[in-house]
Amino acid sequence: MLVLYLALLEDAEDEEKFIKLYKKYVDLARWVAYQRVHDTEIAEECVQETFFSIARNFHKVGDIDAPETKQYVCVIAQGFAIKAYHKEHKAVFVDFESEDELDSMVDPTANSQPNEFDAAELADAMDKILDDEEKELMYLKFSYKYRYKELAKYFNTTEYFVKKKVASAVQKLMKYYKEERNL
Amino acid sequence: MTPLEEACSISLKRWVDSLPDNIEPYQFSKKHERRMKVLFNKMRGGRYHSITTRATVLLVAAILIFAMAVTAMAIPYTREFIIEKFFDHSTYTVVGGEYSEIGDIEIGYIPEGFEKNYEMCGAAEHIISFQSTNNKGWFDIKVSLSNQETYLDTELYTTEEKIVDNIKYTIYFNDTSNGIICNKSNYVIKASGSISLEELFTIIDSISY
Repeated sequence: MLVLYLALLEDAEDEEKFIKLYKKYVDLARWVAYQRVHDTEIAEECVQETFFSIARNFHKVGDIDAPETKQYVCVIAQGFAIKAYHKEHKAVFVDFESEDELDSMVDPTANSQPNEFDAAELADAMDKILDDEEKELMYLKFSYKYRYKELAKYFNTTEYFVKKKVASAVQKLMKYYKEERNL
Repeated sequence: MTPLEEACSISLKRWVDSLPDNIEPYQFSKKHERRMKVLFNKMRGGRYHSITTRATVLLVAAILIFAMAVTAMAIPYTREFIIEKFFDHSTYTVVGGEYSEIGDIEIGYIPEGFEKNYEMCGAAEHIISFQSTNNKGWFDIKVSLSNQETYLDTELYTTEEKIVDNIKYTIYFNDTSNGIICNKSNYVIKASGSISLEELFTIIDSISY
């Protein structure tokens, strides 16, 4: 019999912290979800999924009162609301070009020259040109570093689809940004 | 941080800051409260389903050593499984798991004093949660298709491997709860709760699908 001993980490404070997080943000999470789904029962289910998801990644949650924590809760709640909305409205996911092309679509600002891209202007462009779903994917991909496989699982779709959505959003954003700057 | 990452952070902050500050408290349904209670029970004792790099490496190394040490044993009926690492958690996945729809699940043995709390049925997994009538005990049964991932938190639990009747069981336990993961045919079964491992084994044996 093989026995594997690992250090046990029991932190009784985690339960208390999680309940505090829940009480602080549950109404906000529900509000965010409801804005998308407009159904009280589905909004509740989104809230449940949100906090189950946060519980699975709880070691990532820092100070409960920090703005970053509030942002994280909102992003996760919105994500589940978008997923629920698609399910209710039976969204059809359409394939586009080859996957190889998508694999080469990375962050176009990653190796840019200093001052080549202005983050604040890019943010303005995001808010003008991208819809909520595109922004949600961008937040999860670029702010929270979700991998495509994780995004696919999160939205209950294929890896190819989320790659395409992210690539399409980035292309749209860059095109608008360059046009605005006459680049 | 790249300019795009920074832009995402700015946009996200802007969006969240635009949300109302004072949202009227909402009266959630009893069904919601029951489900959240199950989650709070799971949070008791620490983190929920996360695994560190070190823990993953140790677990994989241990499994490999175990596999080499038992070359004379009969090939287990269970399928090979792999641990896959993500940036903040790891998963147990059966190799070559096939996709199909999960059918009805029936649990033949339910310990005395327990009743069903809730049930969630999806195309690829079926979860049934039980609570004791005095609210002091709980157990969950999750049956999923073998191509789905199953989480295992080896930071919080001691783990062991056990083979019974050619079925390989991954057992995990700590002071407050126990769990068993196994794969049979095209399903992965995960049973966990505050009840004993013996009870969990009996429940797993009673599952029909």
